[in-house]
Amino acid sequence: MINIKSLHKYYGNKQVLQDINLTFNSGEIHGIVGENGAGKTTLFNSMSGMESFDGTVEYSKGEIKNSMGFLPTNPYFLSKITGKEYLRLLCNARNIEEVNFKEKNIFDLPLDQYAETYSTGMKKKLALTGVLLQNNDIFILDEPFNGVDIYSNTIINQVLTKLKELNKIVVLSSHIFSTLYETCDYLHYLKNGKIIKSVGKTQFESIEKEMQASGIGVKIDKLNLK
Amino acid sequence: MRYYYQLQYKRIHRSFKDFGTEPFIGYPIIVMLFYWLSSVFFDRVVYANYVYVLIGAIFAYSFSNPEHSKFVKQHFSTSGHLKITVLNNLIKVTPFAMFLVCKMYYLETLLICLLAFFISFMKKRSSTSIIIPTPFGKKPAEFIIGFRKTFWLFFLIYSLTFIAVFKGNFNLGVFSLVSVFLVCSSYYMKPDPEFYIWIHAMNAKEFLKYKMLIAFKYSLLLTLPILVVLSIFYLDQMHITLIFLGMGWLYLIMYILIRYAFQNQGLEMLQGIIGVLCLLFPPVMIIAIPYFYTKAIHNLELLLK
Repeated sequence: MINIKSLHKYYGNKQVLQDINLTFNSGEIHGIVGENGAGKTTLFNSMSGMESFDGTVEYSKGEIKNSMGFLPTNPYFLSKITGKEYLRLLCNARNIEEVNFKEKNIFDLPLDQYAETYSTGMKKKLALTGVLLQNNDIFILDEPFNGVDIYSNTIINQVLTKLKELNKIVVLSSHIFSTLYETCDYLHYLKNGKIIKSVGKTQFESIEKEMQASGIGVKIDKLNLK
Repeated sequence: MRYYYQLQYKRIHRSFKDFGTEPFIGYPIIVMLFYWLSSVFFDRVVYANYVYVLIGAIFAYSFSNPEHSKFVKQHFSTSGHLKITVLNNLIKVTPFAMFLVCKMYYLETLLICLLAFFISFMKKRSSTSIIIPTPFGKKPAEFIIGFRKTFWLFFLIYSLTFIAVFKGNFNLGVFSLVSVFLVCSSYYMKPDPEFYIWIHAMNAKEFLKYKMLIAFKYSLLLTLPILVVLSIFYLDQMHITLIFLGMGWLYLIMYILIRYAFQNQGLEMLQGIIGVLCLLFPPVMIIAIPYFYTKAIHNLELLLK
């Protein structure tokens, strides 16, 4: 179980996360939604320990960092590293030595090519494969469906279901509500750095409607498109 | 186009600030440094005027970011893109051209400007698809990346070792050994992205030890051909070879420590200066290594618990 208590985050004087209190249990998939800049990525970075913050993030099974697989929104790949070498690097980092990468290549990626030459979707799939190979207990997936083709989306959905079966903790963000309906058990609406609503599966629609009703029409009118 | 150059100017300004200096101090220092280096170059190198033109042209070509060029091409008109590319290359060779004018090499000045113009029409590939095989696949990190970027240097370095044997010049052999460590230390010049540190299930001490062991093993692999050749042909001076090998490892370890001591502070130039200082006065490393170790541990503890 992960317990986030009174998490606050400031960049200088600007408060980007405000009094976040969340609990994530094993075997649950949680979705974090919110507009761009709401603080989703900052929340993930804080949970992973990549950013400092005020408050606490407790994990019942020990050091959270060593059990966590983190998929960033835009995975960064070192230059002149092939896909296979990237996967090996991620496995080495968790002391996993012998892996049959060919067999584990569920997205059929060209693992012998430099990762930097991959398309956006392929990069995302490679990074996801990497965190899956690390035998993690917690998965933080920042927009895992972004830029990924429909077929791979289906695979990711199935992977998430499998992770749930395996009692893993999954926290993800996405702007695509249809995928959230399919995968998540709980949804948390983050607005201006605050969780303003947390709901179970039956009430996802309320958050979707709330997000849609935030004056989109007026904003488009202001563009004065000709 | 005017705003584009205003932005470039702002970017340079910000780079100075990020480096921790005010632009009005930074600009004169760079100008003086460039003038001094160019003067030394002209004093010491034969046909310096021609080599200087070549260096200027190579600088203009290699100092362009293909992604930046792609951005300009995507967002400016065809003529705007061409103007910017030509102007950027001319700006890059301007310091070289001005120095040539000072030296009264007018023909060479014209030549470097023409080269900058023609370079603008050359296409630079952003990434290559040729996979260069390396023996470092087991622990793919700095050495695999660095080796793929600098593999051609090893042909030169190993050639020097063989020349050292044929010419009976032991010092040249030692120089080739030192060169391997200089090249390897350059693999640690760029800061390690936070994510690639964070993924390790290790504490700060274990992480540094892990990095040092990889550097130790892989640099030994790269120096092995030189060590074998020197031990066969200069066995009586093996102790000197081993001293330089030990110094090389110390130098490499120091560079790893500096990298994490200055993690994400954008101080690559400072790293370089300290590196050169330690190369000129190796005893400095006795103080530098423990200092940077403590600083690196402190920095890494923020990411590795």
